[in-house]
Parts: sequence; C-alpha cells; structure tokens
Amino acid sequence: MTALDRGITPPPDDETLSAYLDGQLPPDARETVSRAVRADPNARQRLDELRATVALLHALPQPAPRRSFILTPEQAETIRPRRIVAPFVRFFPLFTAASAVAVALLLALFVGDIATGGFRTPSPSTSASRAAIEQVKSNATAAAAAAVAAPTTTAPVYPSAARSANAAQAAPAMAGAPPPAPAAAGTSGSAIAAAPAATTASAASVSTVVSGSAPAITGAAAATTVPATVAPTVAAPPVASTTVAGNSRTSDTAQPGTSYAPNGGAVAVTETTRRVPLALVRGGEASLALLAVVGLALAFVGWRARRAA
Amino acid sequence: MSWRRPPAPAITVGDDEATVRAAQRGDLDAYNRLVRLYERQAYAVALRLMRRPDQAEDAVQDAFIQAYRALDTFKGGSFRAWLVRIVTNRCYDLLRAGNRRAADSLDDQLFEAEPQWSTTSAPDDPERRATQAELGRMLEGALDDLPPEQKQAVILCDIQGYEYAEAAEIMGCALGTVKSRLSRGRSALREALRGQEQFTEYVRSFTEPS
Repeated sequence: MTALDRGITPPPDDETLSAYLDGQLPPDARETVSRAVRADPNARQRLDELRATVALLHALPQPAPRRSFILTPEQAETIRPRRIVAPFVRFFPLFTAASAVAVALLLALFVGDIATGGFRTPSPSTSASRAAIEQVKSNATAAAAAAVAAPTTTAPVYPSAARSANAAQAAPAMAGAPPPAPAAAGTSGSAIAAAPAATTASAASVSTVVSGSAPAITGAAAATTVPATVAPTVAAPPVASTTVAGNSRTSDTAQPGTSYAPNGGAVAVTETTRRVPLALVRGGEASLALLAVVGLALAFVGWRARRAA
Repeated sequence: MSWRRPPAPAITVGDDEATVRAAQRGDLDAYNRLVRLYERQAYAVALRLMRRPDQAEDAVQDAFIQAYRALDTFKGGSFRAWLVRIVTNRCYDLLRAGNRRAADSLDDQLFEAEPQWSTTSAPDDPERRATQAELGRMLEGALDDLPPEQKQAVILCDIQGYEYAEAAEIMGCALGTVKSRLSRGRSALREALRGQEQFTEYVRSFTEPS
C-alpha cells in the first residue's frame, strides 16, 4: 500500500526540506512538513542529514588572503589615465553661463538692429541730411513756381470751389508750415495760398484736404491734377531714406518725424539719423557672437571632460 | 532553523554608496577602501573555485583591476554583489583557459596552512571538533565535484552566507533558480557524505526542533 492509498500526503522532497531548513516556507507548509517528519522516520532522517551537511558547510574554515589587493597609483594610472582637461571641468558652469549671456545680448542687439533699421531715429540735426534738405528746399521753390502756374489756369474753378472747403484746413496747414512756406505764400495771392496749402499740408492733413475737397474738386477738371498727384504720393509707403525727386511733387509720407514740408511741392523729407554709430553696432554684434561661440566651445569641451572623468 | 554565518564585515549601505561614487569620480583612495572591505570575501570565493591560493590571488587581482576599469558601469544596487560577480566570472575564465585543478593531495594542506579569519564556533568537545574537521575535508572534495552552478550556489549561500537575493544578483539568475540549485547541491553533498561512519554519528547529534 502506498502512502497515497492510505490517504497520507507524500513525504516532502529534498527541495521542500531545503526550503524548510532556511525558513522559506509559509506557515501552513511548514506545519505540514513538521508533521510529516514526525510521522515518517525516513523523512526525518533525510532532514537531519541535510541539516548536518549545511552545518558542516557553515563550519568550513575561511583562509585569509596572504596579501592585500589594493591598487597603487601607478597601477591606477595605467588602468584609468587622468585627463589633462580635468582643471577645465571646474569652469564648465561658468562658460555655459557666459555664453548664454552673450547669446542673449547678441539676440537683443540683433533684434534692435533690425527693428530700428540700424539704430536710426529721424531728426534733422545731422549734417548728412542737411544737404538733402537744402536741395529739397531749392526744388520746392521751383515747384512752388510751377504750382503757381498750374492752379492759375484753373483758378476760376479750383480756388472758388475749394476755398470754402479748404479755408478751414488751409489755416492750420499754413500755420504748421516752416519759413519757406510763408515766403512762397507771400509771393502769391490768395489763389496760390489755397493751392500750396493743399499741396504742402502734412500727410494727415493732406488726406483730410483731399477728402474734404474731393467733392468740390471733382467738378474741376484741372484740379484733379492736384489731388491726383497728391493722392498717389500720400499712399506711397514711407521711405527709409531721403527722397529728393526732380519733380517736386513727391508728397510727405506718413513717416512720423517729418519735420517740415517746403511749400510749392509736397516733398518727402524722411530725414533720419543714427542714435548709435553703425561701427559700434556691428562691432558689438561681432564680438558678442565671437564670445558666444568661444564660450559654447569651452563649455562643450568641459562637458566631455566631465563625462569621461 | 539552519545557522546563518553573517557575511563579514558588515557595512552600512550609506557608506558604501558615497565611497563608490567617490571612486567613480576617480578617487583612488575611495576605491582602495572598497578593496580592503571586500578582498577577504573575494579571495574566499575565488579560493573555493580555483582550489589553489596562487591562482585565487591572480583571479582576485585581475578582478579588482577589471572592476576599477569598469567602475562607470556600476549603476547601483549591491556593490559587493557586482564585485563578487566579477570575481567569479574571472575564475571561470581562468578555469576555462586551462588552469588545472590542484591534485587532491593538495587539498589536505590547503586549509591547515592558511590563516583562518572566520569560523563558526567550533564544538567544545575535541572529538566532535576533529570529526567536524575531517568531514569538512571530505566536503571540500565533494564540493569540487559538483556541477558549476550548484557549486556556486552552495559557496555563496552556505559558505559565504549571502542571502538568496544577493546570490541571485551575483549569479545573474532568478531567485527560484538559486533555491533549486542550492537544494540540489546540498542533496548531492549529503549523498557524498552518506555511508561515512563519522557522518552518521554527526547526524545523530541533530534533533528536530519542536
């Protein structure tokens, strides 16, 4: 009769006994083994023999080494040579910071350069634009003479039709005109006053004059020449440089800071000057770029050295 | 319950981590601290595998040099397990390369001549002590005849006293695999000792704890 026939669980195998010895069995399994060992002398024998074997293994002597195995500096150097770049590694954070600042400044400078067109602001004070202004003035006076001639042919129509409409706008326009305008106005009569006023007004007022006088002028065939010449130039985009046209009919552009409009012809005077000298701007950009590149290169070297260390 | 030999020397995990990190940064003194900490254990394992002190020393020296070179590859966990793994792998490399096992006659001299640094408390009874020594020598021979994986499991768990988990890390296998290799090794050693009269007497001294 086998153990199974008798309804008894089979005796624990060696692996179970081994786990039992090491306390690796859960409580219920441990209890099962304990009972089986008590009931079965054969299992008991096997367990005791295993326990004795493990005890003998525990008791085996451990010979001590006859020497130590620590590494000498020479051995260490052979195994892992120290890199010369090591001192560099310390400055790695500094180089990253410096190059980051340089890049930021460079970007700011660059953006400022683009946005303001080379750090230029309009002002009449520089001598470069002074000559242009003189030339414009001379053209303006010539244009004024031409302008005088043109309206007179249509004087009966233009001034009479437009004067009432223009009178209100003419006065402010005239008031805002610099010296050359009154001089020109003085040489001509009221007819001329109205015409130059219309043509010499600033961009804002030109548009109002044109729009205000449009209903009145459209009837006048000759008068259309004035708005026609004025309108396109009013719509012209602001120019970045001084425009001195042979035909003085170039009108004021919308660029702010246009300081004056000589009478007789709307002249675009887009005088600009540099707040910062160009050489300084370019030099600053170049040196910051160089600093950024050098800083990044050093930071990269330091990073590699630190990784390898 | 079986007796457990505590792995010596005991080191706190915190100290180990900081020292290892310093060694990884290139601090040779830190690395040598680790060497002094583990060289006895490393040598004990190597000696059991190589069976000859000079070959064991070669294996351990090679292993510590290799460990220093490969320090950056240690990513955490038990540094001791990582180190002992390098030692056992080096031993197997040397054994495969044709280093002959010592002749059995050398085994008798092996442990008597060497200074011993750690044993469980020897029995007070001199006769029992002698029996234990004799049986120990037989055990060494039987241990050497075990298949390599069973032998390694027995060395690590029952001789060096590592926990199953650390032994699994050193051997690079699963926990269950360690348990099964260990139990098969123990059974094989038991079979080798069975029939020896001294063993039968020795066994009788072990009673089942109630």
